Amino acid sequence: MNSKKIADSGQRIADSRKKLNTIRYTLYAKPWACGSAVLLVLFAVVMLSVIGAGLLNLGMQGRMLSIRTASEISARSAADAGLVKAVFEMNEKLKVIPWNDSNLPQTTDETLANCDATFSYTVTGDSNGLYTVVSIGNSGHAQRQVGSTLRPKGLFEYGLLTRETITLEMNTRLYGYDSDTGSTDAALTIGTISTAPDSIVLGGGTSIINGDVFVGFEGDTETVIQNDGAVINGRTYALVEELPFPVITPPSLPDMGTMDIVAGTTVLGPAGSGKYTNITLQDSGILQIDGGDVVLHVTGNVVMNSDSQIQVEAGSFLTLYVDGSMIGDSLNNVEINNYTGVPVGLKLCLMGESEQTIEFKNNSDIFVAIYAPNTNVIFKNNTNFRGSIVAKSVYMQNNSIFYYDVALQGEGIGNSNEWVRFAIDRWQEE
Amino acid sequence: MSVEQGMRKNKLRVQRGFTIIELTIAAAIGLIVMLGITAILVDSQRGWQRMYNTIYSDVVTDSYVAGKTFDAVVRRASRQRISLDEAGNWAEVYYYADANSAVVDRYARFYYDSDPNTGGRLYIEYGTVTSDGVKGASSTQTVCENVQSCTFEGAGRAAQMILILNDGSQRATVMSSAVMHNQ
Repeated sequence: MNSKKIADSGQRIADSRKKLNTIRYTLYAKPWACGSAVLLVLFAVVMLSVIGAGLLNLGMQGRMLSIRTASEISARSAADAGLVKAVFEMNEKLKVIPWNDSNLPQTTDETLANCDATFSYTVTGDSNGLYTVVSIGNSGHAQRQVGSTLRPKGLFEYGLLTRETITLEMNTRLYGYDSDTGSTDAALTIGTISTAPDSIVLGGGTSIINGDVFVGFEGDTETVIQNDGAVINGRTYALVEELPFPVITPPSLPDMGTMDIVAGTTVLGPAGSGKYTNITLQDSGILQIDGGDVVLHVTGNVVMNSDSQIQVEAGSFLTLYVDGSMIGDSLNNVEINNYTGVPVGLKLCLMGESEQTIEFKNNSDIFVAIYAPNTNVIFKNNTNFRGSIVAKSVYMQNNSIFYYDVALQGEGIGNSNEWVRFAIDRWQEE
Repeated sequence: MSVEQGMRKNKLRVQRGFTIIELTIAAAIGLIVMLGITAILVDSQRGWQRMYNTIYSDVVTDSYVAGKTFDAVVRRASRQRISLDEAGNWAEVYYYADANSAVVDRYARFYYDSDPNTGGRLYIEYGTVTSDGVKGASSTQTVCENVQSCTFEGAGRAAQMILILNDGSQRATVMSSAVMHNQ
C-alpha cells in the first residue's frame, strides 16, 4: 500500500516537472535566439555556393574559350599545312616530263603530325593553265579554309636581276610586255640583291623604268639606288628574303667533240644537239639553228671571231649552256640573232665561275633570255633588247630600250623543269 | 516539497543571467566565426573577380582582338615587301583589295601612339596605294587602348607584333607573328 503511494507520488512529481518545463520555456524562452546560428551558417553556405558556382562557371567558360582558340589555331595550321603540301605535291608532279595535269593532287582528312587536326585539299586547273588549291583544316568543331592560285615560277621572274650592279645611262627605257598576248601593259620588275651604295644607278634624260625596282635583302633603297633623274613608274623596295642564283645542271647529252665553223653557214638541227668541247666560229662563220629544238652544252668556250653569227631560225629553239666563256673578237662585230621573234626561242646559260663580259653592239635587236650569274652584260648605245637577264651586272648605254617578256615567267632552261616550281600567287582565307 | 515550492525554485534557476565571462567568450567566438566567414566570402569574391577579369576584362579582350587583327591583316598581305619603322613603332603591309585586283592596291599600317593624354593606343590605318607607291584615301581605326608598349619586327616574309597592355590593374602581353602569303 505504501509502495503504491510512493509510486503515485513519483509519477505526479514527474508530471509536474514536465508541466513546469513547458511553462518555463513558454514564459522565459527567447524566440529570436532560437536557431540563429543555423541561419547564419545557412547564409554563409548559400553565399559560398553562389560564389563557387560562379567560379566554376567562369572557369568553364575560360576553358571553353581556350579550347575554342586552340582548335581555331590547330584548324588554321592544318589548313596552311594542307596548302603547303598541295604545292609540294604539284612541284613533285612537275618533275615528271612531260607535264600531265590529268590527275591533280588531292587528299581527304589527312592527319596533321603530332596534332589531332586534319586537313583536306583539292587542286583544280582550268583551260588557261591556272591551278587553284583549296585546303580545309579541321580541329574539334573549328574549321578553317585557305585557298590560293598557283603559277609556275622560273629563272626569269624579273626583267633584270643582278648580283651586283645595274647601270642605266641617259635616255634608257625599260618596259614590260607579253609576247604571248602582245600586251605592252605587263608588269616589270628589276633589281639587285646587292645592298651596297649606288648599286643601281639610273640615268636622267628621258629614262623610264615602267615598273618596280628592288634592292637586296633589308637594303636601304635611298642609298642603294642612285637616281639621277629617271622616272620610276612603280615602287622601290627592299627584298624581304634572299634570292637564290641556282647552279644549273645541263641535261645529259651525247659527246660531240669540237665544233669549228669556218666562213659560211653551218646548219644545226635537233640531231646536232650534244655536248661539245669547244665551239669556234671563225671569221664570218655562221651557226644556224633550224629544224626544231637544239640543245648545246659547251664544256669549254664559245669563241666568236669577227663577223660571225649565231642565228636561230623561226620555229626553232636554241638552249646554249657554256661552262667556260663566251669570247668575242670585238663583239661589236659579232651577232646573236634570234629570228623566232620571241625571247624564249634563245636561252643562253653561262655557268663559268670566272667573271666574264658579253657585249651587245650598237643598234642591235636582241631576243634572248640570259642566265649568267657571273657575267657582266653590256648593251651598247641604242640597243633594243627583249627578254630577261640574270647576271652579275648589267650596263645599258645611252638610248637603249629594254622590254621584259613576262611570258618568260615560269620558264626554266633546257628540256627539264629544273628550277621551275609552282608558287603561291594569290592567297585568301575564309 | 510541494509543487508551488518547486515552481518557485525552477523560476529562480531559469531567470539566472550569463556571466560577463560567458558573454565575452561567446562574443569572441562569434566574432571569430563571423570574421572567418567574411574573409572566406571576400576572398571568394576576389577570386571570382580575378577570374572574370582574366577572361573578360577590357585588357584581355583588347589583347585578343589586337592579336587577331594583326594576324588576319598580315596573313593576307603581299610577301613582296613590308615597311618597318627602325624604332619598331609602326609596320606597314600591302595587300590586294580583292581577288580581282591585278596589283597590290591597298595598304595597312599599324602604329602605336604613346601620347599620355590618350593613355597609349594602337591604331590601324587602311588606305589605297597606287602601283608607284602613292597613297590615297585612308581611314584609321583604334585597335585597342591602354597600350603600354608596342613594337613591330620583321623577318623575311614574317612580321611580329609585341604588344603590352596595362590598364593599371591588369597587364597583358601579346606576341603575334604571322607570315605574309600573297604574291
